[in-house]
Amino acid sequence: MSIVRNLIINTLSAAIVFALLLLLVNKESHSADPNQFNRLLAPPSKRNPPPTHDGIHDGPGASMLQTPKSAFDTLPRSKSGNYVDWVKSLEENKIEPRYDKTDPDAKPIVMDLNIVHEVKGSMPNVVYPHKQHTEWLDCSNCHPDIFLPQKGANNISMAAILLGEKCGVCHGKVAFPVSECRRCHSQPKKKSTPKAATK
Amino acid sequence: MKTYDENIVLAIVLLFCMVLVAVDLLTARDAHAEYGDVVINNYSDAADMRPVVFPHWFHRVRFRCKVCHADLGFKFEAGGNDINMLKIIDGEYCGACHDGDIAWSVENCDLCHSGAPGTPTQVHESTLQKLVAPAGGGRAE
Amino acid sequence: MARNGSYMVSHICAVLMAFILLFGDSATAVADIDKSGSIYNKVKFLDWLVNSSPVSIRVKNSNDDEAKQQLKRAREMWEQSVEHSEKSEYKLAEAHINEALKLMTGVSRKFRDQDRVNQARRELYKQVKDHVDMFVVAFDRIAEEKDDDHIRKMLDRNKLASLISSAESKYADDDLVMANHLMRQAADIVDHALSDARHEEILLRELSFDNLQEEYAYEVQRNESYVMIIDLMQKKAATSQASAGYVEKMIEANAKRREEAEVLVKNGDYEQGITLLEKSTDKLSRALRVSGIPF
Repeated sequence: MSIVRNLIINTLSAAIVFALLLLLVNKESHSADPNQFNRLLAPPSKRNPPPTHDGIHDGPGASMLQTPKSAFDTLPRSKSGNYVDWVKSLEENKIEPRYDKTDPDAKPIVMDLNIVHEVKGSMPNVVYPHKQHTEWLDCSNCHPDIFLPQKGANNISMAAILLGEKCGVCHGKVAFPVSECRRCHSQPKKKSTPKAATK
Repeated sequence: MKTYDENIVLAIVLLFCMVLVAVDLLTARDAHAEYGDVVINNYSDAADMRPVVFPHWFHRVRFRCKVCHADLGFKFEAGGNDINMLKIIDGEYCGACHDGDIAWSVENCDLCHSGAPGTPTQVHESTLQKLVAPAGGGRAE
Repeated sequence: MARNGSYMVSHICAVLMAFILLFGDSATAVADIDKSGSIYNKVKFLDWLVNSSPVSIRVKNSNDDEAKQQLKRAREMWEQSVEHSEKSEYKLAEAHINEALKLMTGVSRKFRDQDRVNQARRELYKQVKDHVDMFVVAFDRIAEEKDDDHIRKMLDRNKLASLISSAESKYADDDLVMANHLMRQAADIVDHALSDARHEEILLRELSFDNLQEEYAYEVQRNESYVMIIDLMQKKAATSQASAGYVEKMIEANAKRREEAEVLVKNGDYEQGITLLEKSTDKLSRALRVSGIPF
C-alpha cells in the first residue's frame, strides 16, 4: 500500500512540475514582458550553434562535425549571416580558399569595376563592387544567367532581392543578408541630382 | 521516522531528475543551423537515410565559389542539382573532391547524411526561409 | 526492513532511468540502435552497388579482368559484412563495408557512364563558348566606346582565334576534355582583357528613362514586385497577428492607388501617376518592415 502511495505522490508531483514547466516554456515564446529587449535577436551565445544543438543536424554524424565557432575564432566578425566578414577574412589572408580545385596557387581573375545604381527615394545609391565579387566568383556565375552585362537591362528591386532573385541569389542565402543596408547603399545622393529625367 | 525521511529525500532527488529531463525534452530546439547550410533531401527520405546537410562555411574557407559553381557544375539552387550516390562515387559533384584524395571519401556516410529525418530541401536560415516562417522560429510545432 | 529496501530499490531504479534518459545522447543503448540502423542502410546500398547498379553491369560486360576481380572482391566484402551485421558485430561489418566502398569507388571511376559524362562536358563546352562570344562582343563595344588603341590591344585576337579554332576541332574529334581545356583558356584571355579594359572604372547607372511612359512602366513593375512578396507571405501565413491587419490595409490602399494612377495616366498626367505609385511602393515597403523583414 505504501509503495503505491509513494508512487502516486511521486507521479502527481512530477505532473505538477511538468505543468509548471509547460507554462514557463510557453511563456518564453509569447512573452508578455514589455521590457524584454531584442526578443527575436539571437544573443551572441546562441549564434553559430554547434551541429549537435542547431535543430537541423541529427545522428552520429552531428557530433563528429567541427563546430562553426571554433573555426570562426580567428576570423573578423560581422553583424549578420555567419557573423563572419568573409571578404575581410580573405583580404587579411586569414583564410586561403583555392581558386582551382587542384592548384593551391592559382590566382583569381579580379575585375575592379564599380557599378553605381541610382535608386528611387531617399536611400543612398547602391555601389556594386566587382572586385570583391570576382575574388570569389567566376564571370559565368552571374553573367548572363542572373545579370545581363548591359546597361539598363536589369530591373532590380528590394522585393526581388528578398525573393531570392538577382542579388538575392546569394545574398540572404550564403553571402551576407540584406539586413545591413549601408553595405550596399553606400553612396549618398548629391542634393542636386534631379529626379528621373524627362525628355 | 528514518524510513520516512529517506523516502522523502529519494523522492526529491527523483523529482529533480525528472525536472531536468523535462527541461531537456521540452526545450525543442528552434532550428538555428549555421547560416548557409543547405539541406538536400532529393532522394534521402525515400532511401531511409538522413538528408544531407551541406555546410557552406566549411567549404568557403577552403575553396572559392568558382570552384564548385563554375568548374564542378553546381547550380545556385538547393535541390536543383540531381546528385545521387552513384554520381558521387563516379566522381561527379561532391565526388570530385570527396574521393579519398582531396577530402575524405564516401564511406563516411554519417558525416554528410547528418540532417534530421524528414527535413525538406532548403537553404537554412536564408532570407526566403525566414519570410515564409514566423520570425524567431518559435516552438517546433 | 525488507519493505524499506524495496522502496529504496524502486526509487533508485527510477533515478537511474532518469539519468539515462538525460544523458541518453551518448548512452550505449541508443548508439547501438543508431549504429545498426546506419550499418543496415550501408549494407543495403552496397548490395545494390555490387549486384545491380549500372556500374556493376558495365564491369560484368567489359573485358577488364582487373576490374572484374575488384568487383568480385567487393562482393565478398559485402557478403561478409552481411554476416557480421547479422551477428551484431558492427565494427567488423563496417570495416568490410568501407573496404568494399573503396574498391567500388576505384572501379566506378574507371567505368563511368560515358554518355552522361560526355553530355555534361558538351554542355560545359557550350556554356564556356557562349561566355567567350558574349564577352568578346562586350569587349568590342568597350573598345569602340573608348576608341583607344591601347585598350584594343589588350585582347590578343590572334591567340584567341587560334585557341577557339583548336577547341572547335578537338570538339569535332570528340576529344571533349581537351576541347574544354582550350575553350577555358580562351575564356581566361577574354576575362583578363575585359578586366584590364575596365580597370578601376566607375560606371553610373542612372535612373534615366527615355520618356514618362517608360518610367511609369518601371514603377508599376516595382510596385508589383512588392505586392508579390507580401502575397507570398500572406499565403504562407507568415505575417504575425499584430501586423496582419496593417499589411492588409496597405495592400488594399495600394490597389486603390494603382487604380488612381491608371486613371491619371489615361488622362495623360504621367508625372502625378508616377509620384502616386512611388509613394504607394514606399508604404508597401514599410508594411514589409513592420512584418519583421529586416531591410
